[in-house]
Amino acid sequence: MGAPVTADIADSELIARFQNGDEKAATELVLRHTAALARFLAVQGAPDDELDDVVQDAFFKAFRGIGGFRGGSSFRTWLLTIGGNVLKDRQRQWKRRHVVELMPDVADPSADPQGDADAAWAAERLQEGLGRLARLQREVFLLRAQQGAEYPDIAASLGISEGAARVHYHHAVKRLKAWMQT
Amino acid sequence: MDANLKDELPDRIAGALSALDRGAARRAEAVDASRIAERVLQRLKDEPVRVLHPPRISLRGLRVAAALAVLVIGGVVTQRLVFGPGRASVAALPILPPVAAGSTTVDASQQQAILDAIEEMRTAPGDSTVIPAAVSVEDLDVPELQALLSSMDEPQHGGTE
Repeated sequence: MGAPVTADIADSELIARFQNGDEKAATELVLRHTAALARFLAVQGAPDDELDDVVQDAFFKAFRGIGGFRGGSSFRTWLLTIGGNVLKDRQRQWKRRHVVELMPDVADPSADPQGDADAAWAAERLQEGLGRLARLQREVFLLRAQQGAEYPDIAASLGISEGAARVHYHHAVKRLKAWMQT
Repeated sequence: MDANLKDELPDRIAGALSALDRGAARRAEAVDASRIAERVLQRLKDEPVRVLHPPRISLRGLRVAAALAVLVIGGVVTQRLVFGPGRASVAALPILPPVAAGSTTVDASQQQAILDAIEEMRTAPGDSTVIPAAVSVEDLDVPELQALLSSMDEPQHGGTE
């Protein structure tokens, strides 16, 4: 067992410790990144009852393939792209299942019911639009707009150039804008 | 979403994404990270690492394969050199000495025929079995080339003497 893990330790250090057999380091990585990964997957339509499994599978694959992580991107962005791959594989299996539509967070009582209804409609519309994007466009868009990742980080995790990442983002926004207006 | 990101997005998309993301975050809260960590660590222990071994390459097998390839290619090339493309089968034609039989067994007329055959193969239109353009006089080995050149010279010398 390695030294006690604290929240101050960088991901890279935790990865090194995990590679040396420190299970607590792996646990800390999971605790740090589960929420972001689950959000990333949920916004892409992962059903509630599968979310746990997809998250688990993504971490499992990430730890198994940790030797291939070169640190060109952040661990989180790399993990999210692995999660995207797992979700894609699962979605093939779910073909005949209805993918749960994400209910936007507009359930709280509001003084503006019409505004809430508009927001709910826009959110549903956006989710549908995301599903119509090419995979790279969708992932770049969400990594940037939802997760706040920087382009070099996104590019490194997806194995594309920074320019290509910007182009994918631009096209995604353009297509979503057109979709939202129809 | 930070201010820079918000500037990059049209308001309508930014608003919709915020609402969508709040719903996603609420659902993500239901995922128990500690339980995920336990299960992942357990799986890492339980599930063996699958190592992909490269296929074992037998040197002997490689030699046999290479010999077979040489035989087949040599046979095809020889047949094409001797009989030309689209001609009758081997059995229907008179037997000619093989190209690689030895430099002394190829006379000038045969060598000229070989050159013509090579040229014919390289330029034959519409023949799907034409050997690639890489097949040329360069494919002959040194003794064959020497024999070819010397025998091509001989008639000329003979003619002038």
